Amino acid sequence: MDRQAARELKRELLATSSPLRAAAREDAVGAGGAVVVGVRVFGEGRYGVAVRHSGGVGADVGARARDLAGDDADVLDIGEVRALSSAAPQRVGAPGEERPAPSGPPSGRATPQEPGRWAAPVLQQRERPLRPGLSVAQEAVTAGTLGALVRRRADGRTYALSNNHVLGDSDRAAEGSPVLQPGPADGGTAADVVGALGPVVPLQVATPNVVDAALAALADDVEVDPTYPVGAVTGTAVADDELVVEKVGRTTGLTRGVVTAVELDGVAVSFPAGVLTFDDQVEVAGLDGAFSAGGDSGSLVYDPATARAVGLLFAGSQRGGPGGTGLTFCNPVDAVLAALEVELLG
Amino acid sequence: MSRRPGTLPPPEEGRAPGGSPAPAPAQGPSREAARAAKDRLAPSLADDPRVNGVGVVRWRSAYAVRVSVVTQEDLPEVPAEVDGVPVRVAAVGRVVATPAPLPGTTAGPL
Repeated sequence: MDRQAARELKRELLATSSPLRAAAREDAVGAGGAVVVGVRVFGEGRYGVAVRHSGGVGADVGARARDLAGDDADVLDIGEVRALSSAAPQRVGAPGEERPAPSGPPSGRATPQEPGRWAAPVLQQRERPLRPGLSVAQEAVTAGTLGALVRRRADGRTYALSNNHVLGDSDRAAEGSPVLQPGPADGGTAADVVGALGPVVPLQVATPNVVDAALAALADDVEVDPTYPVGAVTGTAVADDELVVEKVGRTTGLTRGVVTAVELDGVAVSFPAGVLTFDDQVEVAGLDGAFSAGGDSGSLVYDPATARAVGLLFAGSQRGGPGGTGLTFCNPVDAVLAALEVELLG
Repeated sequence: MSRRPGTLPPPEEGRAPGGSPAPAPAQGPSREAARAAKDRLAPSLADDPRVNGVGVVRWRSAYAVRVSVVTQEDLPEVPAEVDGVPVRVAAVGRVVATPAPLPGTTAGPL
């Protein structure tokens, strides 16, 4: 279906779900029914509806979506809903060690207006376990953002993913040099070392780049919590224009935006060492003010309706976008994960 | 077909990010067609310092080529369409990869 049809179906499902949820609250404690309905972007101009529920009347909304939209309904039972603060930390541990099953999204989901533990002041603190959105940096860099916890296929170990210009000081840091959380601009010192610079995708001067990415190998005793405000983000998708996206970053916290251009080639980006060119980039504008600011570099950008990653934030401009609040630029996430041979940890 | 500088419509006129798209024809260029048009147009703009990226955007229920420019005040000449795919222009400013500013200083250009 097209976008307009998807929107109309979403409205119809929301109109259906409200009385159902109200009835559930009145008649049956514990009947379930948490439900979120959004427009699903399948790509190539195909749209549908996304329904996330936790059983009960929420499942009824999902069934109705399937009846009305068939394959254009993306319905998931997200299971038990739990509080934001109860995410169980994971220990980095040994390669191959079994980990707890991915947790579902938290209840009372954080929003840009009520970010809770995803607020910028919290993300700039020393925080353990390590989680997406936290301030992190090479010791010679001010601060950027820990975008994701990832597992490298070559050794099965857990790494922190961010930009080369955050973890690797734009190719100037030596492999093995310490990485701090929080970053030095947020008070990080030698007592805050969480790991060491690992594999880096070198930045190219003579030819176009696609990614600005690097990993920090985490110390074995560092605990991690890989969840986002939407829960686990382990899948990926190719960004389409007009897709609504979200990120958590060290400077602006939890923000929402919309993709405003894709497959951008020849984007000239100023780095400390000079101007580099990037191809196949994704552009995002903020929906409620700026989507990002300096220090959000390295944030993972994802589709909150599907909990799929679409990009790794790395640059921005002062102009453009609604209200002239600037535009944000992201590397395509599949290229980032492929270049570093990693997968998102759930 | 070319537009003269200063006669371009407002950047991505009619667009409402995150909101309702402008009324549109039912059909138009596909993403693949826009990608092919982008690849055809981009080389002619590659050395123009006023241009900072050429990509693909949704436009009126279909796709168009996006030419990103540094400023609306100094526009390059671009065709209105390439192989039937509309060309849209948007000012994006200068793009900077920057970590957090040093403590006690103002935010950097990002």
